[in-house]
Amino acid sequence: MSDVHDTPPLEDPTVVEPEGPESAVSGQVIDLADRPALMAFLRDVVLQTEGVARLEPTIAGTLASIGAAVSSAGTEGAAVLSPRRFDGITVQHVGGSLEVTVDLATRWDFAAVEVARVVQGRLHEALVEAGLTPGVIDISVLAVGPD
Amino acid sequence: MALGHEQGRIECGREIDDLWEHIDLAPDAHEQDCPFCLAARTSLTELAQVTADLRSDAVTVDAMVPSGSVKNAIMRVARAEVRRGQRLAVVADGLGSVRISEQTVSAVVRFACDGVAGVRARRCTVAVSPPSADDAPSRVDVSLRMTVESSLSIPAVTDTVRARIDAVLDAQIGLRPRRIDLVVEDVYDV
Repeated sequence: MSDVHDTPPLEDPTVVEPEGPESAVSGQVIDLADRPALMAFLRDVVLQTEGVARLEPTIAGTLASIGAAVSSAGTEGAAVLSPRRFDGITVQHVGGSLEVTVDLATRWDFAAVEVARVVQGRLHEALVEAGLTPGVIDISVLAVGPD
Repeated sequence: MALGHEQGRIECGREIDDLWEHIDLAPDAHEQDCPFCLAARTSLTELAQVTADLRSDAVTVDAMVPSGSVKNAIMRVARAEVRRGQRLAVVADGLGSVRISEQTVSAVVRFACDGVAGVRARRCTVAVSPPSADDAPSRVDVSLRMTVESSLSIPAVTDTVRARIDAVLDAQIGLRPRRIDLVVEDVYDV
């Protein structure tokens, strides 16, 4: 084992400054019953954040998507699901607030943890602006790489 | 089925999960006389029957069998999830948590190593220990195998690599590893 000492100066990765929701997601009022609109709204907030490369699908999100499709359209709904639908956002309505989980990949040239914190803050602000009550917002960076 | 104020507990104080575990057995002495347990058992028995029917249908009814493309999509995601490894908690506050996958940590370590002239990263493993407290970050031990250009001093270059890994992990992920073990497993000529 070796201790780590005297870290040399290193060019810092880009740090993303928090900013408010913009363009497509600004000022939009979301009806909780309209789940596709809610998911699209959250996806736009995440993907419009600088440093986010893409959403990353997980097995839990995939199965939730299939479950939702089967509930709304029967097994034919599940049969036509494409991988693009298996995005990395899950939402749970808990005690009057929305708990959001996001799984994403960040770009090499941005600090992953800073990007995650900005996404977290922007989702919180966007939900409030949309007339919703944000709960816990958990962000996981599952990969880093190019767009 | 009436549940008390505490999630998962029946009004008589018993756990609903305990009841579910032996739903296929006869009720015990308490359950025979407890109206809450009897009501819960009735509901759970119906649930068990419906579940059994659905599981049976899932393999015998054509309309319930998922298509090949859905199965493939699920398996693709499952394989990717295995590669990602555990998720390390790096931030947790009132807004929520930020976690980073082991695969991401490994990628950042290799990226840091490859940035040192004359060094090529090979296999990287990341061992995660549970945090010492609920609000503490995960503890991480990094182990990296690498090859080094033959003209370089190995002690000097490993010091550089170790320092760079520490700096890049801190800058990219906000993580300071507890250990960084390096193995120079080969040298190469330019």
